[in-house]
Amino acid sequence: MSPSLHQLVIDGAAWHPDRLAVACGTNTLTYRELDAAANRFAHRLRALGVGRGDRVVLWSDKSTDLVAAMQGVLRLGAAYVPMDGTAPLARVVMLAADCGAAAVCTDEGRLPTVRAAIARTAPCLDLRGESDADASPVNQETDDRELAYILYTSGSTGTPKGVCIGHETARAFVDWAVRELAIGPEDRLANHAPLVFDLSVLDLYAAFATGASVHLLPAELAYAPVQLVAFLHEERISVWYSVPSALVLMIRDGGLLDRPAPEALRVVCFAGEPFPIGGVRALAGWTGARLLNLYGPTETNVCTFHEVTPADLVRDRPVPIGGACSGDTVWVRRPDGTVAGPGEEGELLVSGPTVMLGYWGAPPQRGPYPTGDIVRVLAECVYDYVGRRDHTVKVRGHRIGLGEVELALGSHPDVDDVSVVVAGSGIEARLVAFVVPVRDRTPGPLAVKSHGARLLPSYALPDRVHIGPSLPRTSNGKVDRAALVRRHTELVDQRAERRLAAADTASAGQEGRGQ
Amino acid sequence: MKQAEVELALMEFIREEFLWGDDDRELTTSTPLLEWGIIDSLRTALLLGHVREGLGVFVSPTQINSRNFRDVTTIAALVVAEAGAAEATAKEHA
Repeated sequence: MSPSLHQLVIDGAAWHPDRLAVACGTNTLTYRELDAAANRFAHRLRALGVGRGDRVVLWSDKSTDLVAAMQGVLRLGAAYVPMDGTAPLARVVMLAADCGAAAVCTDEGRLPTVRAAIARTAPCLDLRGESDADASPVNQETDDRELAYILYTSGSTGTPKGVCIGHETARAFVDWAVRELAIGPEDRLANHAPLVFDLSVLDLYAAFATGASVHLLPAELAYAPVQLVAFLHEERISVWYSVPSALVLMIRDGGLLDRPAPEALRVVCFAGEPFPIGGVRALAGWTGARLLNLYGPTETNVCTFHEVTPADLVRDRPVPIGGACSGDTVWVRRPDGTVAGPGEEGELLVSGPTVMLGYWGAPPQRGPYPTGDIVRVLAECVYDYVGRRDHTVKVRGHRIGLGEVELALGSHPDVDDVSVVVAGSGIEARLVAFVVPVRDRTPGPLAVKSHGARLLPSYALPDRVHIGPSLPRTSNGKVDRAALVRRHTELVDQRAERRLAAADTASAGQEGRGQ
Repeated sequence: MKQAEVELALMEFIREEFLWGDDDRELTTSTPLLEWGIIDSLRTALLLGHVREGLGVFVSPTQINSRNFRDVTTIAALVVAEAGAAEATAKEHA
């Protein structure tokens, strides 16, 4: 039996109690302090009746308290279910019910609302612990396949799916990452991704496994380019891991390349979506840090990776997703079911220690996990990402099931029919909804969007809602998504022309007045 | 810098950039911007860029939180306060 996931901080506190463990703005915790805070939280949860095998929802903006709470939950042998601070209340209530949460923990400000909505089904707890609570050690041993956390992802069928990750599943990935990236106690890891996103597992636990520190970026700053660049320098980050969109923004609008690369920076990892090659070239010209493309859906965490080489930079496409890692085996299945060879395409399958236990409420995952991602075999065991095989899309690294968005918007009483498409790519990718109203009703775009915001995470909300009389259909009756994307482009162009004309009129008017 | 002027400037920017002109005039100064998904982290950054370039006010990162970015009224109050603080600092150094 391998050690549990929460053993990492417990060992960290024993071996290097005074090293910095986690920082969020001016709030910091050493390993000793994190250990004590985790124990206090575990005792408070236990007093509410939470124990081994339970699920605990944590709904909050990022904070050191939140990280301590995650460890406290694990120490009871329970599993945490993180919910982003930007998630709407209705989603939190729905998912707490879905996973049968034994408790819902949130920050002080949200506590009254959560209590009002949920208190009848589960107790609610303030994330900020009382400093005089019992801090004696809590450390429930767990079996390898016991649940550690659930990450809810957007499902293509319309409802969110809870990806269940066990202690050993998480450890297999963390152990690989620590080895491959040679993480050590001097490292300072940035945490850019929300804690509901599996990228954060590397940031937190690779740090905890080695006595390094993790530096949390609040969600509000996650796409503020100038602040991100300042954070990288000021926090003396040595290991950066984010979606490519954040790096693209830092390069384009944050002046990342205007200053010399920070000396401390030695590893830059990116994942979640293809990184346009221009950005990779720019980074390679700017820093001597290792650049790594990590690949894997939430269901497997990172199952392949590729370290950028000079040869990749002369290709005119994103760098490969590389070959298997984390002890996993991956292969490519052609449409006829046979294994694809070099030059061929097919769906990527994964088996091995990082594959999830299963979806919450569904039978356990058995056999290899089909990723739904289409890849091309470059050479023996090296792959290029090609695209998705279903109606899920990626917007800034978040996997979004279009069906789930359509279902949420379609539940507005004035909406008769709705279709959602993605327009643009990379950092410019936007969700666009086309809505057909119920006869004689005229819902405004904002009314439809705000309705969606009650049910969906903010990254799954449409950027633009077009209201129209009907949806274009293909000859077999399906919504013609390609036609919708074209229609959106036309509407964008028309609006740009109108704005240009309006600006011309305005400046002509000003010149007129000036004379 | 007056609250009403800043509100007007913010309304115009949000309508044009995030609401496609808001032809139905659905946006008000008390529309919950974060809660309704009108601004998210990416757009908060764009809005801050506009406040910096259009209004000449730098909002300190420590003030960037969900309370201050609730609606147009709270953002305008923050901008006015930040502008006032910057002015006071400038006077001290003068």
